[in-house]
Amino acid sequence: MPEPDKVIEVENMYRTLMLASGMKEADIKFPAVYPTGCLIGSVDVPAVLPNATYRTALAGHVPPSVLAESKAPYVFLCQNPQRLLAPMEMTGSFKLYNLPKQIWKQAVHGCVPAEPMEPVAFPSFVGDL
Amino acid sequence: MASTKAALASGPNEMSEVEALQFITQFSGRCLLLLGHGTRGSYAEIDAALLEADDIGQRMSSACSASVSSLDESSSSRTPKRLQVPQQWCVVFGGDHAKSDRPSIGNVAKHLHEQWGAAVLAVQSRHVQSTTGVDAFCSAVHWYEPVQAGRGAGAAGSLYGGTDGQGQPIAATAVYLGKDFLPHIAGVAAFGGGVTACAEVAYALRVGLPLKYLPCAPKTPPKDPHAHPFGPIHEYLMEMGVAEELTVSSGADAAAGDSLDDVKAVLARLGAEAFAAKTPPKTPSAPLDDSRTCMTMHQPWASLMVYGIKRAEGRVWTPSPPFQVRTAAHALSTSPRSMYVHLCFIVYLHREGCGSMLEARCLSLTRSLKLRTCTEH
Repeated sequence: MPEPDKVIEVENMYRTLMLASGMKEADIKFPAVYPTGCLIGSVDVPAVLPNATYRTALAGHVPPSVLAESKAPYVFLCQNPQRLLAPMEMTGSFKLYNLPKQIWKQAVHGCVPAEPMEPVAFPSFVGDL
Repeated sequence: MASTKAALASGPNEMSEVEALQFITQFSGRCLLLLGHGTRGSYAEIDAALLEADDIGQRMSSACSASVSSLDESSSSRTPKRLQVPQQWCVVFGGDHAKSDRPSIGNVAKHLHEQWGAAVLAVQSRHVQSTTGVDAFCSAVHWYEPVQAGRGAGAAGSLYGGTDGQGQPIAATAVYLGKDFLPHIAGVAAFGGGVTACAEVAYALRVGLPLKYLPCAPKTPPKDPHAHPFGPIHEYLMEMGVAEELTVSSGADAAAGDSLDDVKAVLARLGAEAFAAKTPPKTPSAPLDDSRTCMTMHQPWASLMVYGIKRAEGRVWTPSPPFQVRTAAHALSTSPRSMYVHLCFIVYLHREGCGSMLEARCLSLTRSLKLRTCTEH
């Protein structure tokens, strides 16, 4: 289980970000549960950028709150989020790996589009950065 | 150079391999091998390493103080006079210099000697004997004969240590992890490290030595931009499933405690106005093709990502570009805190006299967690 303190801290961080980008308090919703040890959904990753590129090249093209999210050396850009209605139990691995075929087939059919508070569509040039 | 010469004159006892073995035997089971960055790689944050060294020093000295009196009596009869030292435990390292401007594992050894009374054995290559030598804080030094170039295919490490093509230790590693020394070494403490330390850790794990590992970034960043900033040793342990990824500063610009105005100012810097003027599309024109690629993340970030709240996921590594795939998100079953436990191996200290194994777990879990953020945001 995630630590409750950590969940509150991270949620508060996102709440502040959303409020700062002009969203109403009432519209800000977080997941009711944070399941662990399972596959929970998927996102499209149009590119992985070095942090400096992510901060500078995308300014003005995406909501600024997206650019305030990470200070890590490399950033996976995520759009088109899909969540699994029924999370599938499985063990993970390190870095990137391939899902077992059986799990993958089921997961493809079990996904529904999430409804993000502040959706983002990264410009098509991110693939060439 | 003059100061080094003077230090050599008054400083470490020079020992042959047999004498060095005798020296180690005095501290059998209370001898820790220190691995880490040399002066070339150097430590970006030496204070973090010294804090962890304090923990090791405290444990070693308190574990050894109970049994040392009986041991000193027994050892005095069979060891030559000049080998007698007041210290109760000892560290072995590669003889790197303790420099304040380019701190190395030598600084950690010096700290353990000065603060925690550890005897220090340096195992250094013969070819630096007449030039730079070793620091005066070392109690003893053994000069090993440098290996010639060409260590064979499949060799790991460098000319200073590691393993050859057959997986056998070479150079310094052949001394302090050789079959003679091995029974007396209680464990290995790795404070980060480059290719040599990485090969040595791999060998130490293979021969079953307990390892304590602290991730330490080198001051000199790796040449390969895609390499892990904590160096090859971290990548190796990650591959082994030992080290979960740790980042130093991967937090977001906005912290939970920041005021709304502060965050607004941050957003303004990141192009809030330009974005408001543009009104670009909010949903991608076409989804990417399905792929089986999956990435494991900690909660709560994993869920926030598939709910579309988190739209930028930070990592200290990058896949080889171009990376453009649909990625599944897997939520890790363990919390960040328990992942760190995997990373802190157990150092066993053999307690002379009572013959029991004293389990010295990493005491400073909480302290280490403060030093390094465990998860990626």
